[in-house]
Amino acid sequence: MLPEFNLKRPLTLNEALSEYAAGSYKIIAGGTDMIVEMRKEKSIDFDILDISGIPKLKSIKKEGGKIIIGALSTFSDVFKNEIVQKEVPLLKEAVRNAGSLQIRNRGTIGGNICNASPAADSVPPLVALDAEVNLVSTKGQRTVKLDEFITRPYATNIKEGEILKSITFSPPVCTGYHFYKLGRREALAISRMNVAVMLNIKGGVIEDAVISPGSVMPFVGRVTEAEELLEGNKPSKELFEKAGLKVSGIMIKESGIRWSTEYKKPVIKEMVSRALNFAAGTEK
Amino acid sequence: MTEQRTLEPEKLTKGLATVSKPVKRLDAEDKVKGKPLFADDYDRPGILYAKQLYSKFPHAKIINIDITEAQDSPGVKGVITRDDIPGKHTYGNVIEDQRALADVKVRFLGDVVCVVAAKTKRQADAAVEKVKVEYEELPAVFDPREALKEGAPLLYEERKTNAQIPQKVRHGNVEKGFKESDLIIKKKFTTPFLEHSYIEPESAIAFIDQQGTIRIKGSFQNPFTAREVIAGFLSMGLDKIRVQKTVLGGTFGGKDELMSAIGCRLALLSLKTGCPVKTTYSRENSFLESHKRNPFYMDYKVGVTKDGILKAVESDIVVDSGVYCSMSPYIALRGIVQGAGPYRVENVCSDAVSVYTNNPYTGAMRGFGSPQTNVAIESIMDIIAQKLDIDPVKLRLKNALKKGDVAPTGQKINHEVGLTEALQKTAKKIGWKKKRKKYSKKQTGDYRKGVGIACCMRGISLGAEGVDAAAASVSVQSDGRVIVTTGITDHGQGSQTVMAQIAADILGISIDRITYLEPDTSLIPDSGPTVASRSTFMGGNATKDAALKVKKRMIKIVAELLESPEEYVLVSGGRFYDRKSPDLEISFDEAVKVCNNKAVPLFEYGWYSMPAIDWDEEKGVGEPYFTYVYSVNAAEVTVDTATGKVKVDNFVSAHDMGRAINPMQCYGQMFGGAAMGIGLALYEEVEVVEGVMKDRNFDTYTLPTACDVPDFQGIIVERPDPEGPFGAKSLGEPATEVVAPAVLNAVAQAIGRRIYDLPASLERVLLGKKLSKYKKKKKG
Ligand SMILES: Cc1cc2nc3c(=O)[nH]c(=O)nc-3n(C[C@H](O)[C@H](O)[C@H](O)COP(=O)(O)OP(=O)(O)OC[C@H]3O[C@@H](n4cnc5c(N)ncnc54)[C@H](O)[C@@H]3O)c2cc1C
Repeated sequence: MLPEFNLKRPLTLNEALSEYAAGSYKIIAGGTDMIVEMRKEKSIDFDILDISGIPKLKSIKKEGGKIIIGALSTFSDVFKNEIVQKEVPLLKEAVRNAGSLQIRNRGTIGGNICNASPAADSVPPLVALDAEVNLVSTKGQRTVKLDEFITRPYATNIKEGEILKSITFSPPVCTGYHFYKLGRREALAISRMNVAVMLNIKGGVIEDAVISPGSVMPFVGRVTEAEELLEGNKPSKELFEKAGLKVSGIMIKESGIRWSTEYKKPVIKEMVSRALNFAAGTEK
Repeated sequence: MTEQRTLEPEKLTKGLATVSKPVKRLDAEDKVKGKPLFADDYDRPGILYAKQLYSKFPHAKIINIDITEAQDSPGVKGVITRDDIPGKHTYGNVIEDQRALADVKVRFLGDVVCVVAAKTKRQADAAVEKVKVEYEELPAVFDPREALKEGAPLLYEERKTNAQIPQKVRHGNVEKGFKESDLIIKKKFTTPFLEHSYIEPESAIAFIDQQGTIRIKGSFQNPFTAREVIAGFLSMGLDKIRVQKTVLGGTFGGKDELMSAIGCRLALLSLKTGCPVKTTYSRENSFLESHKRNPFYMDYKVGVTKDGILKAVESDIVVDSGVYCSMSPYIALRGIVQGAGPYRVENVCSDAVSVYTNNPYTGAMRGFGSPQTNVAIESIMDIIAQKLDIDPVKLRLKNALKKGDVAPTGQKINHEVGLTEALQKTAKKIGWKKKRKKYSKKQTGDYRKGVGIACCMRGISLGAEGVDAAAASVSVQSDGRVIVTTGITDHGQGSQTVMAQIAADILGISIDRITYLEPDTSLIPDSGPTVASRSTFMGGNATKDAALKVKKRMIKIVAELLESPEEYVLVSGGRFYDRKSPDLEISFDEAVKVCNNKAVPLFEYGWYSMPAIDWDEEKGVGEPYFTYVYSVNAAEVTVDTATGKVKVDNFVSAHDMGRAINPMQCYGQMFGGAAMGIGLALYEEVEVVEGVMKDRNFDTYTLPTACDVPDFQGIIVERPDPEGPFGAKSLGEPATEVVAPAVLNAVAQAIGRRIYDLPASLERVLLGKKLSKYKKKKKG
């Protein structure tokens, strides 16, 4: 049973920030991670600050050439948003299959990031987009790169009193993209592994390559060694296979041999190479 | 979803208004609107909530239980332990080993030591934590094969062994059979623990009515069984316990023994406190305490001639029963009785033994032992087909039982057998010939395809598993409307509608005149458990019996009135008439009035008992079941050989079910059963490590979703059984029991490698083995 708790539901960001600074709170947005966690506890020694009533945090807009996604935007909001659909279809694809329809209608991008699960489906594409997170507290604002914000599985460097306000990134310049999610089933599946890739191919040569895997490394981030391997080269199946192999090798270097390595090693190689082939249109 | 049906021009159903028609389920509209009350929806003034305390060890002696602090905890009204049981401490259908409250020992982590009742759920939760139990840990055993060895820790010392009641099948002489064989295949197979995964967890409420009768409403699959257990536990008469099943959110064999235990605890608590007491399980506790599908460890040896004629089947099976016997010996028996396939096999020697371990207990789950053995025999059939280079469908057709053949148990098959037809139609529907040929050519690329087929026979109802009889009542009201009840419970399979259809057609009235009342143990005779796909056959026959008795009485009166001979009077379309001069007629309602005026009773009980069977458990020979359903399933899959992911693209389910009383509901059974079987084949496993259950909710226990199953196709084959109501046999379990081998055979064709251990997860398909994040303790 869900333990008893006190709840505050501020309706403005300022109200939320001062309440947060004054009390001993944990934040709840969509609650799709929090409620599951809270249910495991017999009692909890904190209060709940429900920020879902702050309209300002829900918008998705473009300002000064940058796309700004409010932290409270749900997977469904992102999926349906025109700016996202037009300018960052990679992100749209990534949230398409997160959880179930019910989860997508409640779960927020802010929650997905702050929960920092290695299987979070919005994180690899946002890292691929070099997104930054905007944090606010009563003491002020700061902006951090997403791959620095998430420090390890389930950990961020969020400071006391800080609320994630929004996520910002520039629309990508790319000719192709792909998000590959591997789950145990077709719906309501937690990613066993996923990977977001983007390619910018000009004159038959890869100018820019981005490879951002999830549930593969002990941290979030792009795999630059594999990206470099692609850049300046002509897209080909063989090349993409090499890049896959590189990601697989780096995974073992970074994560060591774990119970799942025997499976993940060949499969991540294939996922990366498939994703790149999709992005380049050299479909496998 | 597509459907195909062969309607035999059949006298039995000619002119019937509802039987054989896709009548809408009586409860469909209410269910869609969310109207039905499930167990947890019931409430009463002054209610208390019960919470149970689980064992801390997989195997331990209970030295002391101290409830003083719990008793004084806020809101607590009652606490029960082993010391409070007024009557019998144990129950069990086969071996009386199960306890609603642990006694001297706990044997698994789901054993309940103590239950408290408090005014709120939170108070009950808090109080149960304050119970202090002193244990002395005992060595435990978790592998049934280890548990059989000399010196293994014993769960029940007095039994001197962990083996339960060994089961066998003996037919012909296997040594001779193997000598006559040109090819002998020896293989091992395993299946895991599976959760029933009913959407509604266990729930019940108990209270004492004005007459002092203990009333229990809840998610009972088998109210009569529960009543008997509760009466024994309380040392009260059966007349003083009244169990009522509420609308069930699924059970699949699962809401049985645990529901009996819950009934005992709630009844005792309400006796002790004088208050109504209720409980509804969390999903985690439902997983922890409820029984699972039995893991089977199977060693098979099959001999065949070079022409593909089966000569001998030998099997040796160890069944993990966990801490309680439950139905395991009969599950083992069902497994081996059906475990040589629906084939003419002259020599069979099969042994199966269910074994106690300190794992969660296992028992009935849709299919009851045969889904496991079907995986083995039907995989081997495909291995044979490959080795002998015979098409798998042809190989099965060659050996398929026909009327007049002798089944693998030595039973002479005297009934019509629709197996050959089902095999042919299934093969045609899935496009077997073309696809099989195409996919057996060398495939390139990551995505490989395969088709697979499998078939089975299923003994209907309980057969050698127990006494088999059921009751029904039919009562015509003075306005011509009818109330029907049977002792069979509707779990969601739609049995109410089937009973109503049968009553409607016998009485010659439309189905909307019939109200079906769900049974209550005090209002209808004990009809046994609703298991073994016996609803339509047993309940339907009892309903038929009751309706016929009433009809006969009405015909007598009508015949006098019309001055027609009784044998000329028929009823249909809401009127009685003389078949020789159809103008002589009287409406059903009018006939009811006349009968009422003459004080002719228009109500009756019906009763049906299964024709005798003849099974010699000692020798393992005889006729274990009265008749059989024949089933064929085929699957087409695509395997991603780079990730191990299997997608079922097409699935055909065909059954000779005797008669499809309600074709729409039959497809419902077939498609739901197929989804469940795909779960067994590809997705599901409750991982239990050293007695600790690792999967206790649907986050890690992976059920297939609607997106993981294809558009199913169903084929109804009808070979009416003379005993069945309108020729019907059964379908509930056939629908799920031969799904997995069809899928696995398709996977084997696709990847050129076979999976012997279930489920065929990503890792098994890719690497040929399971990977687990849970480490087992090192031995020694
Ligand atoms: C059945 C199910 C299926 C799921 N499937 C998927 C899936 O396929 N893919 C996937 O990625 N995830 C999945 N999830 C996880 C979850 O839905 C997502 O992580 C979701 O994005 C969490 O968002 P939320 O708003 O519900 O977060 P909450 O539960 O409200 O919060 C999560 C964490 O973030 C913190 N937080 C939230 N918002 C802020 C903020 N603005 N500032 C500071 N801290 C904040 C909270 O304090 C908490 O620690 C699933 C969950 C469930 C229950």
